[in-house]
Amino acid sequence: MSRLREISGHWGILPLFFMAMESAWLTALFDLIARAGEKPAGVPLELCCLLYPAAYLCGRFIRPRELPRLKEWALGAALGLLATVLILKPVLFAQQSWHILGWSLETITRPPWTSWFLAAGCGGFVWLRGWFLSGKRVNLKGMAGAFQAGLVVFLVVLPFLGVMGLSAGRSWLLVSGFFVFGLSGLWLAGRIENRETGADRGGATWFVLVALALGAVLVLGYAVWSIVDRDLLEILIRPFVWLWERFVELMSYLSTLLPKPKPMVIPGRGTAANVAPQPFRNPLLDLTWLKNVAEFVFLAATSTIVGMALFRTLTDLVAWLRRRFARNAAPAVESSDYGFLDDLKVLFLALFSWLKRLLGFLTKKPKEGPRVSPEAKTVREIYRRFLIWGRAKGSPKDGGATPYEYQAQMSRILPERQDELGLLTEAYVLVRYGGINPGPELIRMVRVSWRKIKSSAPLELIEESQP
Amino acid sequence: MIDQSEKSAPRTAGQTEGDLQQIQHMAQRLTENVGRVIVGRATAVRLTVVALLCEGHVLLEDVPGLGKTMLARTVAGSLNCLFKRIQFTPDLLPSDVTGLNYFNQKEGEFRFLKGPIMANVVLADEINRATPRTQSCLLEAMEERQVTVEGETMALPRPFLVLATQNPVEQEGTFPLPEAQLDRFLLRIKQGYPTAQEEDLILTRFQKENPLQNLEPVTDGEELSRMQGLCRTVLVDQPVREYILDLVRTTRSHQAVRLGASPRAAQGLLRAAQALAAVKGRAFAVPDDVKELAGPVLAHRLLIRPEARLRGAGGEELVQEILAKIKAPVEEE
Repeated sequence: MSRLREISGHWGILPLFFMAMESAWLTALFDLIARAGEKPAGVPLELCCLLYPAAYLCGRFIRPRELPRLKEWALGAALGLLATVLILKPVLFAQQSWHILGWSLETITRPPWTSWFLAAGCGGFVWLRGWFLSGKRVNLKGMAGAFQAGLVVFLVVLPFLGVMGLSAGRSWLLVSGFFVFGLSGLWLAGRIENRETGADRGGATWFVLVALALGAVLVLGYAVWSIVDRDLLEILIRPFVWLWERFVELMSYLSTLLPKPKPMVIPGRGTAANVAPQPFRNPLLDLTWLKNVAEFVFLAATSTIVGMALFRTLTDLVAWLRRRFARNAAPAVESSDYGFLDDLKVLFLALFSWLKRLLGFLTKKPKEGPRVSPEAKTVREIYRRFLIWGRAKGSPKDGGATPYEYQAQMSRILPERQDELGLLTEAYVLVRYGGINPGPELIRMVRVSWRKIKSSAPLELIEESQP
Repeated sequence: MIDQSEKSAPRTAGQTEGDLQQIQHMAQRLTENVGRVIVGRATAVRLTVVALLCEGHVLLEDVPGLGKTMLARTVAGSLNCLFKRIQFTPDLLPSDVTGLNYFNQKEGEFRFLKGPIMANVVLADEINRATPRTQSCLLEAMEERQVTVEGETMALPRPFLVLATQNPVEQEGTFPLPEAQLDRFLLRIKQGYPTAQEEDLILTRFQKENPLQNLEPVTDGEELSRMQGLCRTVLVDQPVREYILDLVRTTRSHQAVRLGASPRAAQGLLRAAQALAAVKGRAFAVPDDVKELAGPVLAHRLLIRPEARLRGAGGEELVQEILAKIKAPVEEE
């Protein structure tokens, strides 16, 4: 039990939840892509998600966070190989069964190039995503952002998949997987962050509650929709249809109140309108209207909740993208209730500027940097590991902080390692900005200092409270 | 710890460890001498010394009575150079600053009467009280170290420094400095109020006599010029140079800024970082030098949009915000 508690309190566990959560919406998205064409793609694109952990593990090996881990790489490679086999088998050996050992190459099929294109595109995307994740540290903010993005994808993809005939069982699985892994990951990340920073954020679970409520509405609505096999659009417009029918009925009723023309009396005959009287319907006993009203209220409430959730999520997403793209520091912009359009405008401008920079970056000739000696590289690599270690210990370097500022920051949590921190920083500054080639003695001292720093236990961080 | 000789190893042609020590020694002498009159104000004094070492002009801006003029006079008194003071008033004319040609009836010819600008150190007191016309006569002198009077251009003596003071609060009868003039000041220094202990020491020190009257110079123009040349040889490696450029270019695209820092500002920041590194005994500049100087070098050059100003965004705040956003040139994790 204590082992489980220890594992669940470690940052390293979060990428698993992150990958599982993203795999759910990726599977739904790939399923939609596979079904989108006139003919099914023929490639089990959803299996591409198996490349996610493979890319993550290989990425960790290539970009060591602390030390290269051969086991991780081996596991990642094996997983990648398995995923590749699983993806290729139905494409190339559609006629062969798993029960037969040794498939005949004569029966190999030639799938259309679109299948290859789709498989390569989806697989490549998942691989890049896993690779990207391996260079990052998943924290509460990242988890929440990915959860929001996944929610938007689900809201967009699921109705289309329903139209295209995705089975109820499978959709239940995807939605449940997304919410279970996403919400558990969010809760875990919040717990770890609270423990590491020593801060009790109090209302850290509000978004989990909101997401749970939203998830319940979505899952319930989706389940009903899947079971009755109705088109979602039809359900959404039913309230309006009902309103229209009531309007027509009201008009008909009002028309009956108008003065009726006197029936024409024809001599020798009776009245022209000799119609049999309608049977009397007691409105207190006929409850059809009540059923219709209840249906309208339920559908209107559900649509409003889903619409509001979608709008809110999109607003958050746009705001996040805006912050992400706005490279230049902007003054604090006061939030406005009607600022969504402004946000969009700024976002597009930022996106345009980002694309321009990207174009500039792609067309820029590679710049030949100054040659760095192996000795200088050693010092710089040790300092890089020191930064990674500091981040892992909960004291990451701020982007704008200089080496001396980071030294002061680390000295607060490693007061007994002031000398080692000073030496490491000084050596790095000499190498990086002074262009000095360090001697063997300096490198040895730097190594010793780094070992001492690495072996020490930093003090618990206490968040500075502002009065 | 790391060997000091390795720390200040010679990096550029012509620069030796002895040179660095000379600069440090001179900066220390100047600081100590100024400290005989000025109480506290370590940052302001250090920045003024940095400006002296890169031959940059200084704008001392603060409310009245905080010792702006006293600081300028003390610095000038510490230098054995030609010092002139110009009291800027609304009726001051350009010819009162640059000089004029007058007809000498005795000799029957025109003679040039040199203005107070023809000095090594010029104190432009209350500079914003003069009209824009008079203020403009400093533009050529401050940038090109020369003045042109009636078509004749005359070089100013070197080193040439303008130490100007202005009061940012009092607006009546003043003319705000134009951007072109502000850009010519390397640093804008704000001192702020002294602490209680410092104020007590000021009262004690000035009770019987003015220590400025007994101040002796500790260096001369020749030595200062030589040190200025040495400061220029301090290494500013590519990462630090790129950091300076990032900083300056970001001020131009900031949403709250109408007019960002000029290329002259980038040059000034680089030279000031070199001088500060030399004062600290380093043969190379580090990002900390740039961060320390970014506020005094850039803040007064930014023309802030009215809406941002209404929200209380000042030049210093914007520079600090940009500094926090821009990545320092440190190893990528």
